[in-house]
Amino acid sequence: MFGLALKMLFGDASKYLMLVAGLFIATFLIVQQSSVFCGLMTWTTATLKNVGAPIFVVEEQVSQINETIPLRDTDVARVRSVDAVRWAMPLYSGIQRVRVSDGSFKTIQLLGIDAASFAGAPTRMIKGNLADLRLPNTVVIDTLAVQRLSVDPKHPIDIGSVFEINDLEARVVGICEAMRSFTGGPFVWTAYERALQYTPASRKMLSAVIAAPIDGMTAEQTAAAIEKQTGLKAFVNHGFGENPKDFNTSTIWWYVRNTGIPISFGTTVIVGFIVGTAIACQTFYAFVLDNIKHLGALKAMGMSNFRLSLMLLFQSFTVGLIGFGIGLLATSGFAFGAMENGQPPFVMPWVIPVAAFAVTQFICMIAALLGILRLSLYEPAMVFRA
Amino acid sequence: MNLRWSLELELMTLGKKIVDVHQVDKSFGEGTNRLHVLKQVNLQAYRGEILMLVGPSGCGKTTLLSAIAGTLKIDSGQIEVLDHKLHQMSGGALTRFRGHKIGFIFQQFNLIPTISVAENVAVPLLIQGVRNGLAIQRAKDLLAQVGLGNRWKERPNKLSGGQQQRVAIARALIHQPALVICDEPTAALDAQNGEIVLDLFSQVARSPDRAVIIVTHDNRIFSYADRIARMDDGEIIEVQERDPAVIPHFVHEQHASL
Amino acid sequence: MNFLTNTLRYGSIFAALLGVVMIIQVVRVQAENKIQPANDPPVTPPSKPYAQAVAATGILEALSENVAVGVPSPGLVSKILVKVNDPVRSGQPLFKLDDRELRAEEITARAQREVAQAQIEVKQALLAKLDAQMARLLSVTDRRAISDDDLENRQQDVAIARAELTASRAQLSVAEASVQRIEQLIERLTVRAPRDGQVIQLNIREGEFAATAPKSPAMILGEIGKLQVRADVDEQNATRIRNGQQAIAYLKGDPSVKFPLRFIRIEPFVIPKISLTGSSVERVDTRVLQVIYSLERPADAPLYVGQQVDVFIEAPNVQPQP
Repeated sequence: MFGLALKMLFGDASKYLMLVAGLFIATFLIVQQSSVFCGLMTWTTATLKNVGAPIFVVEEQVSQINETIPLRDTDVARVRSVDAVRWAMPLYSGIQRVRVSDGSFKTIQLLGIDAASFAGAPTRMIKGNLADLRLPNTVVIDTLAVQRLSVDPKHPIDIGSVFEINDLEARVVGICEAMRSFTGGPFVWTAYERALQYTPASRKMLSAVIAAPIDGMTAEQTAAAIEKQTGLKAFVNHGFGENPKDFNTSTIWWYVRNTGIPISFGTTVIVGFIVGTAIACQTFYAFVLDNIKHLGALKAMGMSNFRLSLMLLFQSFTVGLIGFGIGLLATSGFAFGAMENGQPPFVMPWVIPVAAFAVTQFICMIAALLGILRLSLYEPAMVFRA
Repeated sequence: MNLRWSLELELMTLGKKIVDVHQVDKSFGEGTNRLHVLKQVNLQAYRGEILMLVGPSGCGKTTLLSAIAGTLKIDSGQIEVLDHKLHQMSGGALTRFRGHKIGFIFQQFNLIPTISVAENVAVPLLIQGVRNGLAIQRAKDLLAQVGLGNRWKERPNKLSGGQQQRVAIARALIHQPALVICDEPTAALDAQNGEIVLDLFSQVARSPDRAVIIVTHDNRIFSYADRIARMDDGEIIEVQERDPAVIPHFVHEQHASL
Repeated sequence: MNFLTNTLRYGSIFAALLGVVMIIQVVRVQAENKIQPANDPPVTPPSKPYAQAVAATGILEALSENVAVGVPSPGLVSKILVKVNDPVRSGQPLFKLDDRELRAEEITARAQREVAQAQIEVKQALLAKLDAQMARLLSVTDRRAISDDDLENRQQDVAIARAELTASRAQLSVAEASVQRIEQLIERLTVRAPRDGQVIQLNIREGEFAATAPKSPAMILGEIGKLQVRADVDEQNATRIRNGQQAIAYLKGDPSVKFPLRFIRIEPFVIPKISLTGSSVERVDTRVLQVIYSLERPADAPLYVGQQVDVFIEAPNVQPQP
């Protein structure tokens, strides 16, 4: 019987294609747009990923990593004085301008880290030696910076190249892999003291204190202890989740609340859903109408409404599955392109395809329901009226 | 008249009545649009016979056929088919009953175009829950009987009208129904094909255990009927035997076989 | 038609399956590309030596506290007598300022002393002459040969000459005092070590002008055989600091160099934090409590005055642990 249903479905090539196309569009738009959205949101936490410290201590009013209210220098010592802290190091993070050798200006995300311990240093060095960061006027740049700051693509900047940050010389001693930032500026690491020299002076310069919990304590417990003892705000850095004391979560929610990004992407996702639903329902309904004579004949010949409904459901389920699969195929093509290129942002948690599957199946169920409704209105006796 | 009466009496006493329509009323619509389609109709069909329902368009013969097939609820009266009181049965029971006891041949054949001829024929068996392979095998055997043994793989629309109707015949008979319902089986066919098909049909469908009811207004095929019931304006106005001599003979034969 | 539907059917199913496989691949690659957060930095930061400790940044100083040597008066440096790292004894000349002006004055003063000397001799000679005349007069026995008036005049002349001699003597001591004063002033232009120690910084060269209130002291003397640490404790942690608390310091830049500290004292005055971050324009808005510790110079690792250290002071928590 399910074989019969499948054959009826595949037999009508144009409607089958239409149905698959509708669900393909829905799947592709939902998965791709959600993933780009997630990618973009992940970019907002790039500093957290690139500075892989378990705990970030920031000013009380700060709720996201890209907006920094500077702390006082002695706050490092205050955080260090908390019993639950194993180590604490200063971190400078700010957007600065770089003058490249052809005279043009580029924006970068400057990170200043403790040059003794290299706490907050990039984890994936491609070239060069991190220890060289202790030399005067040295920086470590990421691969995006190589692209952005190179004047001649044939001779990209490399170890030993020199550019200027706010008119001060910066010599490249290392190239690393890093996650891209939301602002699009490449990441440039330097020693904390040097970062302060590169940056125009202001009253307070310390962006954050990064810290680690002592053995036997979780980051959360330590963060709570830091907050209690210093009055500063301490965030843990595990990754986006339900914990509001996680800097990733806090940062992403800040962007969701304060920017139009979710609305823009949400609209596209909803459009995908609506278009998918419209195409699928319309086509499936037409499919049922086309076959109503045969379905009616089956009904007359003793096939129960229940089994006919099952057939229709099975058909829509199959179409949904295939449309979904092809949608995933297209999305993965996009994903590989994006990952190769580094942009647009693409991060797909497993929830997205699962949710998209549920949504496409929901669309299919609606379509099938319409068909079932139409079929139930069809009396078997109508078969006799040619 | 007298003869028929006695014959009916005889058949009734033998319990060979397959269809018994008694005082059936059916109307469609409401108020002034109300259309009284069946008016106190009485009709019987017996084992082994081919009964034709004839009459002008709109006389109610298709409605009567639908009622007998169990696809239409009647307003009043009784319909008994194979000792089942259709007017009292629920929708689900009716569906099951149709699937097991009745074979259908439709005017437009209603073959499913996207599946093969054999699969079309196997549909009633599939509905009954017979395993697919077995059903297809039996469908192929039956197709051989209607002369389409080598075309079982093809799609119905690859066949001519006559061939398609032969497929429909096979489909109607594959599950050995006790009652076969035909709605204008030759309407979509030309005269020659109509005759060939009906010739074949009367051969393969006729069985001592089965009644065949054919609704038609194609007078060229009246000769295949054992009895012809004429309808007009919702009433059976006349029931006539094609050849009175045949029926007793046939009945006797059947009697002997029992 | 059949071929087409079959292609469509199997093609689409294949594409769908491929899609699922590919998306799994995407998830896999994504997981691979994910930057794993590094929990510990490449160089392990100093672990806290005490369960409950106050952290502070400190700076290494000479034990005696560094002496910024000043100059008595502004002037050009004419000669530097020591080099950086030279050990000096108390009173040892360190450098000399230009004394030519004073020397010139000295010459004048000396000449004036000569004049005064000569004046005395003149007065002595005069006195001797008058004395001789007086004696001759007195030796005349005939009183009539000498008038009383004449004698009285002579006597007065002698008294005057005597007084003039005394005045000339006083003149001489004035002239001598002047010479001595100038000599003292010249001596003062030689800057001497106020105490035993070592020259640890020399900010002035010969020929440069030394001011009395310079931006940087001309010379810093200190005792670098023994060092001390001046640790800045944030005022918010100041309540946890007590006399005699133990502390351990780590050299900034090389956390493997660790040395115990011995408490000396707490500075009683909370001062604005002096920038230790290296930024020249950093403003100060924090006050710090300074705690002084002494340390033994570790045998193996070279330590230098002025180096920054991370200090952990063992101090119980005033707030209860959450």
